[in-house]
Amino acid sequence: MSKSFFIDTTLCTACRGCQVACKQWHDLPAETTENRGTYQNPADLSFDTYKLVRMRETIVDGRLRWLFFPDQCRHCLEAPCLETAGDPAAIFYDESSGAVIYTAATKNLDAAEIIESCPYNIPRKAPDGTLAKCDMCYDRVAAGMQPACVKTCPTGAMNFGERAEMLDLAQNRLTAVRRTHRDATLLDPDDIRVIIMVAYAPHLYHEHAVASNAGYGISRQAALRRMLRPLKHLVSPFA
Amino acid sequence: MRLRRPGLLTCSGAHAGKTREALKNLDWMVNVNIFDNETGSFWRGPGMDPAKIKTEVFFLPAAVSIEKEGSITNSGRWSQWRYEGPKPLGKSRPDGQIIMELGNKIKAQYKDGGTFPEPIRNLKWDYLSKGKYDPHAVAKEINGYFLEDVTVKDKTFKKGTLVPSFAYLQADGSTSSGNWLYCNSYTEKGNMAARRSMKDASNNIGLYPEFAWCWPVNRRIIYNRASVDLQGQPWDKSHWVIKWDGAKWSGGDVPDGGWPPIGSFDNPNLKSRHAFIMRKHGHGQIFGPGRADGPLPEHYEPMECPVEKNFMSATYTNPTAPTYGTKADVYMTCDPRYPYVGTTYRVVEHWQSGVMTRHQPWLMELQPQMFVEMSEELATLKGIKNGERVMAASARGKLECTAIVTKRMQPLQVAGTTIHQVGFPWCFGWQKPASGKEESANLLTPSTGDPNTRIPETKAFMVNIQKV
Repeated sequence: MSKSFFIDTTLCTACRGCQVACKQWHDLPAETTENRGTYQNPADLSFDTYKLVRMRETIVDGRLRWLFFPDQCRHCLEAPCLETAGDPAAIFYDESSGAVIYTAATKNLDAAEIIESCPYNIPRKAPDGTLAKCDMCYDRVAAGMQPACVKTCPTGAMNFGERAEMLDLAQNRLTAVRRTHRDATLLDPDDIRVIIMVAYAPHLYHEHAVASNAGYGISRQAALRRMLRPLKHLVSPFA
Repeated sequence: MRLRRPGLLTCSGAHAGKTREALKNLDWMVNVNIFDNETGSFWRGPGMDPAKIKTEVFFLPAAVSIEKEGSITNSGRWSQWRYEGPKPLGKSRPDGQIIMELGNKIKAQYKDGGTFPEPIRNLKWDYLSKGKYDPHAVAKEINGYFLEDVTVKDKTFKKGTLVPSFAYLQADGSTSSGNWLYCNSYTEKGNMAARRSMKDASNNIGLYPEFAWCWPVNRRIIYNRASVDLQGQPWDKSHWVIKWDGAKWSGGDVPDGGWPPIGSFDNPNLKSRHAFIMRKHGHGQIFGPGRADGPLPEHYEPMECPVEKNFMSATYTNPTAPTYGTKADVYMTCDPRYPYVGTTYRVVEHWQSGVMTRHQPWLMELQPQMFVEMSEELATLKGIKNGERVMAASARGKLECTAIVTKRMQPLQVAGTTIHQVGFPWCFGWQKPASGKEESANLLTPSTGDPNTRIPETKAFMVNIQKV
């Protein structure tokens, strides 16, 4: 039994309720920000910002689109950051949800190496080297509640539940959205627990919307572990 | 004396600069609010010299809505009772507490003298329970009481009991009611606004008649006898509101008057009445007589506009629009100093003038600064880069803000001329953030508006934008 998110960006209005709910639940401070000529704030994820709605205005097929991308840790099924760290006291999987969790012991890791290992450029560090990111609100989940961002989302963009259910939901929504948006796609659904659907080409939303193909940044140790793992993930969840 | 409440006339009212200046004329002001703000602190705002301002300001810290028990009424006429959530912080108090204590002090002053003391001495003002403001006592007073034993339509009501509906209010002083519309909201059956039943009415149209309470007499859809034909049968059978069963209206909503159906126009039931009972002839109207303008829609240019004539009417601007004649009331149309159309709007992150939300760090993180949105074409014309600070000015005032250059704003083409439009959110003010540099869009807007309602013309006026 493990959990997944399904994020339907076609329903996201960039209200940023998710950003604020995350901060409220985790008691994270507000950053000092400036208006940089956009409604998006802060500019990037940080040690104090685990969830960020990225905004891009772009022309697609001759029409202006305002693309919203609720960025957060993808809780990879086989997390490169975890494998790079190789220290379950610092980074571990929460057994029941599958969430990838960072502890204060991340302070002892090579922060740059961990961040580089992430295909989505998610972990961020404090001045003392401790790393932080979305923790799937695994404390809420253990108590039978939804993550704060999911609970607060008013449009149904944010969904959360058993992985099989979320994959079904994602597939159904993809089919529906493809009727009007032929380039709609799910981003890396086989590899991660945060399945995001976009209506247009992923790179239009964010350079790290999908994992880069090269497994760069993985340590030799992690690469070796990969080679020795049974090939169970060859069976498609959509079969 | 002037009593002010949350809402912020120095930031939310058009031509805010005129208002801020005018406040200097007050002898004293009482400001009741949650946070310090541009109104209570007008005397130390930008351009003000406190040494020259004689206004004495009393600031009374108020509790937030969720820190108070009481009712809220929405625009659907529903009144909903809400409990006290967190306790008010520090010495802040609910408005009700503040006004009760203030009233008691005023009454004490008038006890042995004063000019025309009777209305103050005799004012019923007993809504404290053990020294604490009692919203239930006020709600009951608004509903109304029998002040003596009263018999109405064969029913006898005891002195001191709550009046069940406005049909039982009397004109002879034997009943009281704070507001006849709310008579039926708090009765011997209890606090109707506190109900939360999820049971729908028999017509299943989502009325939920026992969820909270609606004025008058819990009638959710007024004039609902307009939903039935001459026989009292619903026009829409699958979404019916009320229906006549031969003897009475049964099921659905509270009928808007129990009179029987008309029957036929040739031979009408004389006990009946047309549906729109509050209108002179009992019919709905698309136009109300006595309005300053109308009845047919007309296009007028705004008081400040970018074209020299109205292409759609012989009359340029609305001749009945209110304008004011003090030195501060300036309007500049087709003036080359103010060549762009300005408009104002809102953002999700702040509420109204931002008097509450600008004090919330997570909201300020999202939306930290005053901005002006402009097209890429206008930005190119003025050499303005996205994210750059610029100066916005109108005939009435100016402010610094951040330029958001976006394709979402497009130049307008009007009779072959390109007219640029820019947009401002009106949620900022000098008091917060502490830099004092994020000001209200209403410093720019004009003191004119709708002829009937005076809703200000904050959506169309002329401005200039320049690099700082």
